Amino acid sequence: MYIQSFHIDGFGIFADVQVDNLPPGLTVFLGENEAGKSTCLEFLRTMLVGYPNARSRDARRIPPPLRGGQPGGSLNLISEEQGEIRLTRRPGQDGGVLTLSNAGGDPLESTLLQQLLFGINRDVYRNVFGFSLNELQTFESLSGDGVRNALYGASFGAGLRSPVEALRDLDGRKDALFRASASKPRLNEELTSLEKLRGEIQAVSEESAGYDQLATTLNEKKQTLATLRERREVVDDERRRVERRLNVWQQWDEWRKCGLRLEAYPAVSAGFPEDGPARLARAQEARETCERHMAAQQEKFSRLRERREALQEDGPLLEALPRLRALAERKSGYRQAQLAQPRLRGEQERADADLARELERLGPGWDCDRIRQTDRGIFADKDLERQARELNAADSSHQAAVDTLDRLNRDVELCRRDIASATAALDLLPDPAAALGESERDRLRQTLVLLEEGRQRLPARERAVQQARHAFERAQERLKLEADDPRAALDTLLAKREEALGLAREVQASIDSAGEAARAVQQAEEQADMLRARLEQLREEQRSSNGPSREALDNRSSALRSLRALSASLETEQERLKELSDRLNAEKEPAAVKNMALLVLGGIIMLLGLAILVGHWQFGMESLAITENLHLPTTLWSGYLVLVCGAMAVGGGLPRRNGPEAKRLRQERLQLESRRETCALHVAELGDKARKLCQEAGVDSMDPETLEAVEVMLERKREQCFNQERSHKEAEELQREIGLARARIAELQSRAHEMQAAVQRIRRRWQDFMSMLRVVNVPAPESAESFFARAESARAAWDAVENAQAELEGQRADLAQYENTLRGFAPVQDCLHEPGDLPALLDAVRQVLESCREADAAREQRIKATATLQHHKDELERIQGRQAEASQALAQAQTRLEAARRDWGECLNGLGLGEDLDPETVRKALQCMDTCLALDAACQRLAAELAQNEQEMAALHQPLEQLLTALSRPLPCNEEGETDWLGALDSALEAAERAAEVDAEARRLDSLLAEQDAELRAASAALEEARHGEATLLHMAEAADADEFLRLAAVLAQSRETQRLRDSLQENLRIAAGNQPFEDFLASFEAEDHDAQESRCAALNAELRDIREQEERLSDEVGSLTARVNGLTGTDTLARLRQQEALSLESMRRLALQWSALAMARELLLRAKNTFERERQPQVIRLASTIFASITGGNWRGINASLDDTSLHILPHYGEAISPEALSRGTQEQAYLALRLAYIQNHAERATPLPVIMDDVLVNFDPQRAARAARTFVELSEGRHGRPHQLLYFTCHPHMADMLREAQPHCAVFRVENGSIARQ
Amino acid sequence: MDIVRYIHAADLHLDTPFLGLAREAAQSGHLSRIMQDATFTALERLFRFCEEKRPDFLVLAGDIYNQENYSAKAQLALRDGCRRLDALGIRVFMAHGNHDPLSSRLTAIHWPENVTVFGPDVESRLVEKDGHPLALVHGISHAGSRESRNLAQLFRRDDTRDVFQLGVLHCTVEGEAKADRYAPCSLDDLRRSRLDAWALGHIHQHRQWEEESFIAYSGNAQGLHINETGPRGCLLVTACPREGGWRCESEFLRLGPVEWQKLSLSLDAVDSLDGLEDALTRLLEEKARTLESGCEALIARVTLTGRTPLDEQLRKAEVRADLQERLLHLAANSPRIWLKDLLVETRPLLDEAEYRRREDLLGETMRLIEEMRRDPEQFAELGATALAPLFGHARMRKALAPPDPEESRRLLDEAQRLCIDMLEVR
Repeated sequence: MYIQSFHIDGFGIFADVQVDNLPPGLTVFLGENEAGKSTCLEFLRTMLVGYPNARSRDARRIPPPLRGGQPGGSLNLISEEQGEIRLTRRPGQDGGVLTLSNAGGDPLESTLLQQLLFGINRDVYRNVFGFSLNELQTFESLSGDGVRNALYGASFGAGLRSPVEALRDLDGRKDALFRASASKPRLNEELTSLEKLRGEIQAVSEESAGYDQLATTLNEKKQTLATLRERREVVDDERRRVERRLNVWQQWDEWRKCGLRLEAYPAVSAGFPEDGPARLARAQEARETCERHMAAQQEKFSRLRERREALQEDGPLLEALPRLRALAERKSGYRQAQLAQPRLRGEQERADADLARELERLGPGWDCDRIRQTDRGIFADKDLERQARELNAADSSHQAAVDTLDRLNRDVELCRRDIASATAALDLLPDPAAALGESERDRLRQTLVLLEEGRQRLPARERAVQQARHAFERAQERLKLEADDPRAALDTLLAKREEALGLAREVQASIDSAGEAARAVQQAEEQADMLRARLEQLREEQRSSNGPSREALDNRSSALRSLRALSASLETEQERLKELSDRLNAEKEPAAVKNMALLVLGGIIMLLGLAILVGHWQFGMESLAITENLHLPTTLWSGYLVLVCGAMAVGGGLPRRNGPEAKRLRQERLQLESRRETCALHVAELGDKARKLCQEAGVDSMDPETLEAVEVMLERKREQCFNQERSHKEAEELQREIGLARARIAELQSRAHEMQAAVQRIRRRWQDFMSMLRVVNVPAPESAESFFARAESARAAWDAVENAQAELEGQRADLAQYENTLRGFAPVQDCLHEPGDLPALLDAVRQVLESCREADAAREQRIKATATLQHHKDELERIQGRQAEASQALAQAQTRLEAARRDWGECLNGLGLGEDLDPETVRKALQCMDTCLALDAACQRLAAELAQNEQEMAALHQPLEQLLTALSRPLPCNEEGETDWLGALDSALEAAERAAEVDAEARRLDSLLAEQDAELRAASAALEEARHGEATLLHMAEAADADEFLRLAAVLAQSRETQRLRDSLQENLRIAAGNQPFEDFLASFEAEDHDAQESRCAALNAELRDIREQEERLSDEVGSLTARVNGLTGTDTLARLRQQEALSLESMRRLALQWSALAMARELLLRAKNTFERERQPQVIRLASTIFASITGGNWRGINASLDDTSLHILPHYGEAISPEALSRGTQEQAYLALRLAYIQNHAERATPLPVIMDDVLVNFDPQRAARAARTFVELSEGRHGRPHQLLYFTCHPHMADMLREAQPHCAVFRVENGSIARQ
Repeated sequence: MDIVRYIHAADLHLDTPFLGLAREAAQSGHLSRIMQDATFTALERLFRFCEEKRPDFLVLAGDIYNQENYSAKAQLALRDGCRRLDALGIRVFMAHGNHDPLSSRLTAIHWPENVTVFGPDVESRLVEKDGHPLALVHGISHAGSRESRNLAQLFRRDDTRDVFQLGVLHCTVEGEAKADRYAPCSLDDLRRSRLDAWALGHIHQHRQWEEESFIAYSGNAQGLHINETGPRGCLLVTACPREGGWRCESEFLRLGPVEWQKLSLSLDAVDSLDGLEDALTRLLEEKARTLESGCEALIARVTLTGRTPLDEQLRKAEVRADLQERLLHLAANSPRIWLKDLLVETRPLLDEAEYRRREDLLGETMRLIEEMRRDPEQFAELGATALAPLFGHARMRKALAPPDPEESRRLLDEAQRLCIDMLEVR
């Protein structure tokens, strides 16, 4: 594919630029700096692969249309496969608005361009196919990694990341999820927590599995506990009864004694008053109190009477008290008036002086009355202000009117000068006439354009016809039909298409069926092999395992279970036996008891007997005098008797065992021995049984560890036994399945043979059918679709040839018609003079059009000048109008000013002021008048205040004088000899107040005297009543006096106390009796012995204690068992843990899927990379090496790409490879250029060659290498090593253009200059 | 002969956890509570239905609880419910299955008089109504957790009694796809017994065959994972006498409070995440509106399909997580909706064929992936190599099962996206 022509509508400095006839080979664009070469490169790249995203950084590279025109442009592309394609692109989303059309202007699908680009996207094109020196040099500014990535992109595919980096990235992400021997990654963590969770589940499960046994034990314990509680209640009832009796034993005894005491007390009167002694004492005390009160009242009455008689009253002064108080209230007013009098007089004098001074300022003849007569109202004031404003406004408007008139006079002068200059300019302009009218001229221009376009398109049409023919020939050649008329043969072939395809499908179907049948046979054989292998394996397993039978294992298990149960009871029995033996051994003889008193007494008596015998034998004593009258005979017999008595006493006191206790102990010992023997017998029996069971179970000892181990071993053997049985069954099943599989294989094989035969038959039919259609090389049925597709494309190619031919003819006819039309125009004929060839005709037409355009331009200038003159005249007229208006306004302003001055004078006259006063002076005079009036008002106010003060002082002293005279009191005088009215008032008021106090005291004493008299009478009555009460009490007790009364009262109190004690005891006893009849209860005290009851109570208590201990133990056990059972039934722990396990598994599954996707991506990438390296990569690198070696003149051997570490190495002839960074800039660029050219050639092997565009990429090359690079370009453009490519080379160096021209003499050279491109 | 009415339930799996839920979803307080009690709620509803509908008897066809869960709570809850029915005079017939074999019964629990637990051999019990024989119920329990005998062949009609005869069995009927095939039998085996009806358990999906015998699986009472979708419950069967036999009609009664749903959403017309969120919200709310009143929670898996520019974004786990988080507000509606997961099966707008045409490494990779899609054996070999470190790991193997073919297909799609992501410089 190559660019045949392009048109830039608007792009940077280019606007409406057309470039035609670009050859398919090398083209050089030469231009100076900033001539627009880079813009042109950018335009071509953008048109081919699209505009960048408006928000991307690349968008800044796209210049806006600086010289107008619609942004964008179009390319004419020529493709071998598609013919001519017109591509138009405008800025917009997704690469811009793309329009594709064919040579006839019919629209094409936009995907066609993508097909032509064949996987080359925008970035790849910019990096590899169309690049400038800048892009080549950007490698230097990139980081090392960036360089390598870009290079790697050129190796593995432009625009791709390094696969090694991608693999490393994938590994990192994988490892973050899971690593086999790590603990931190998420999956490993999850696994650890899952295992922990499963451990917990196992523990809780085991606990839950024991629920049944636990619940049974709990029920048994509950039953035992209930029985025990019943027994406890019975014992407790009896104990309470006995204890109750013992507790009230003393009370019963007291109760009995109280009865006896009551009978012994003397009789007392029944009417004896309750609480007698206290009542008597209270009566006596009341009487004495009344007597004391009586005496006190009498004394108080006499004292009051004395005080009343001592008081004296003053009547007239008392009556004058209210009036004196009223006068005292006026004292403060009198005092203020007296003080204010001098100040007021001073102020009045100052106000009078100020008024006189202000009147003087106004001038002679002015006083307050005249001022008041002057009109100083609001309306007069406003009128005065208005007159003043009017006067000022009239003055200002008069000044403005004068200024306006001056300015307009100046404008009129200027305008007249402009008119004169415009008239002179118009006279100088010519007035030419056009050769053709507007419509004629348009027709001529259109015909010319059509003719030129038609001429331009003609070669393309001819090429299109040629290409269509070639295409048809190629298509026909691939079909290899043996026919004279290819078109008819194609039609026949296509008519039979459906039939042939049906046949091909049949062939394909039969091949598929045959393939399936073969696969089925293979699968069945594989299945049979698997089954046989499994069977062999099972048989091998069976041979290797010959364990005991299931019955033997069951017997051993049963024995083991019995042994386990027996072990527990044997252990219990042995412990019991040991306990009994211990108790027997620990049993002691009853302790001996000795009597020290008897021993000592016995000893003394024996000593006495010995003394008597010694005295009798040795000293011959007959008797021993104990007292004067009592003599103890000391004979032999008495000595012996005393000695014997002493010995007996000693014998009685010697230590010895108690009889009944010893007997009980012996009995208990006998019982224990008997129980021990029974127990030993039982232990022996159990031991025998255990030995037998040990033999059955095959164990040596019966300790729990051994039993546990044997049980585990048995369980394992049972499992093995179960597996054996299962493997036997499985083997039988496998045997049967193998038989079935064999039969199935035979059946499938016969079917496969049949299918193969069918395939052969149908293939022959296909061959015959195609031969009938005159196809020389009959295609395989599998490729029938593509064969007919080729046939169809060949038929389409034939149609395309005919169409192209017809279009070419039409185009030529149109051109002839256009030429005739042009010759028909008269001015053209005039220009030609004689019938010339087509170029002369075209020149003549252009001359005519040019003369018309010039005439139009001159006429247009003349019209513009006339319009300017008219504009100036209009302006003059307008200004003159405004001048007249300004003169009129000035006259009006003058009139207004005079009227205002007249009104002002009249107004001042009306106020009595001079006419010549200005407004400011008038305002000041009015202010002065206001001040005078205010001062006058202040003088009048002060005189009124003085009069009021004098009136206030008189209101006090006149009534006071009258009152004092009436009371005959003297009038006091001060130091100046004036009467002190205030002092007189104060002394009179004080005397009146004192008289009022005396009168009030006399009234109070009178009232107290009356009250005291009443109290005296009441005290006398109370005394009488108290005396009567005392006498009544003595009478009730039938006592003569108070002493006898008290004695009788003491006897009565003792008897009542005893009775109350007895009742209380009886009540207690009744409570203690409870439900028992009270009489029986009382009788039981006398019937039973106290000590016997106590011993019975102790026995009951001991029994109760035992029961309680047992009950407590059982309750604890039941409580803990209940808690465990409830825990097992009520808890959701296991469910919760299992739900957690499910959640954890789900989390792990999700993580595992993430990991798997990464692992799979890694594996795919790795395999693809290996394949790529093996099959594709060397081709690009080899090619790049060759090109690099060629450009460098063999200085370097080539390029080597190490794909594992994503690096590029340059190979010298000798020594180790070096990295590109170590090379000079020129050599680096040569390496990169070689890599690109290799990629371009490699790409063209599989796809349409794309235009290659370069912008001065050789400037850093030395002349020799640049020349060699130029030759390489030529080779690329001529397709010496592959398919030819169009190469557009932009340069600003003429020598570079010469060098390229030298390498390719026929190359086209275009000149780029300031927004235009033209062919040299 | 009187009409016979009975309720048939099976596979309650009391106190069994839910599977396949993300931890975040399951730890949401409300959902976690509902899930924890879901199986017990279903049981409670069953007994409430019995109290409302007053059937002649209740049949439980095995797997009422899971032996391996050691849940005494489950058996006690069952016993308490049976006591309630005992007070109403409703008999209960219980057969044990592979998950709750006879050996797993707790002897410490005493069952009320109305409960009949079938033993390891076929037993027949007569049900009476108002003193007259009403029906004869035959049944058998699994003695152990791996019953491999054909138990259906042990049933025989009792010709001496002219009443409705029902068989209760926990079994796998031939043709049912279920991994653990215990007590296998065929429909012919069942019909040969000449019983009027069969109440079966073990298959967790409601199914019934109505020919000469009425054979029915009631399905399980509560779906426990995403493959048990839709409403779950029991059957109220009414058997009416007809010429020479009985005509049975069944009514489905919903029990499970939690419902699983698989939904699909095409994104052909959706080009933004906001639009997707709206579409998802509409879909789920629409679904929630159509749910029955007994559904307390809907746990949904939504599969996104279609060709959309969002494909690349949706392939990112964080985008999906964010989307799911933003949809949490749906849980505020009633019945509450929980989005279990989002499966992305969308395709990108750009043509995969274009990628495959590329001559670079990416094109090579895409061609390799296409080849894997075409050749399952080669793909299996690649999968085995790539995934061996994880699924062959000694400890991991006990927790993780290798991906099934469907998951493998999705993994390949995901791997393709990763390859494009990793290789293309954007």
